Amino acid sequence: MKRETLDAALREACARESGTIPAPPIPGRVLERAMAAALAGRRAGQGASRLKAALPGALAAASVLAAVLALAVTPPSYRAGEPLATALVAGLPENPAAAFALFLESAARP
Amino acid sequence: MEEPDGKALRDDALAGGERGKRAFERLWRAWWPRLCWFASTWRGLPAAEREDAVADALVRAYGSLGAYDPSRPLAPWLYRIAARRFSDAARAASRHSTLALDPAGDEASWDPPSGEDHARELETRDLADRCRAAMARLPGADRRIAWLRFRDGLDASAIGRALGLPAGTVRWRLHLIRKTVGTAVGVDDEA
Repeated sequence: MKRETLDAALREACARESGTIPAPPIPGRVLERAMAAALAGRRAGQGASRLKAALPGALAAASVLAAVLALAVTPPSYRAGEPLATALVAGLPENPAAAFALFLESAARP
Repeated sequence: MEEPDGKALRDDALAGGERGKRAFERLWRAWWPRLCWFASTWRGLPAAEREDAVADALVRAYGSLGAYDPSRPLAPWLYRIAARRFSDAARAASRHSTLALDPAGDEASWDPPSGEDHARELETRDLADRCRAAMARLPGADRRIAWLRFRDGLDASAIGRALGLPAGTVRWRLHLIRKTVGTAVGVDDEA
């Protein structure tokens, strides 16, 4: 006999196996635990959603902070009035990340 | 047996209230029998603790439905949660319990065939019965793989996801399972 016969017999064996155990009624305490677990899961999900929603704002704030810190440690040759510092200060409110990138790029130059 | 739709189950569970309760009832009806058998493949898990472990696995799965991706099949995801729970319970039982373990395999308990045209049916039942007995003698890990393949129709990748095994290992084990069971029941495993 072929594999198909064997597979069909194995499927039949498994189907009969599972058919011999009927599901009992759900015990009250199990239902209560399930509802409590679902509620906890929903709350955790909402928390994660809120965190996800707040993430772009937090990243923008971190960029501003990084740019301000970068300005604070700007070498004397880049003080206000010089082209780089002017560009940084001008770009900061508009696009802090780009301003910071500009600073890094310029600082890396010899 | 009614097979609950994973997406509907998830949506209802997330909705909570009466919808949530009905979703858990659907999950329970469809999965309790399957997981009971699945749990029996952990021979270190005493029969007295099996039903609690199944209930616990279903509660965990239900509470985690928010993390379930409805674009993927429900069965591997749910079996994965159950497998972890049963492994933990079996480990804990082996450390703490002095209960005698459940002997493998129960007796067949389905009704005899009725009607006149039952020669073929008897043959099918006999073969299935012998397969069932041969499966009961397999190691627990192979019984799990056989169950997921032949009861749930999962492919090697899905079985691998459910049991934390590489798909290639699952394919190889399936080959050996067919060979072992085929030899035991007198059916050659020819592709």
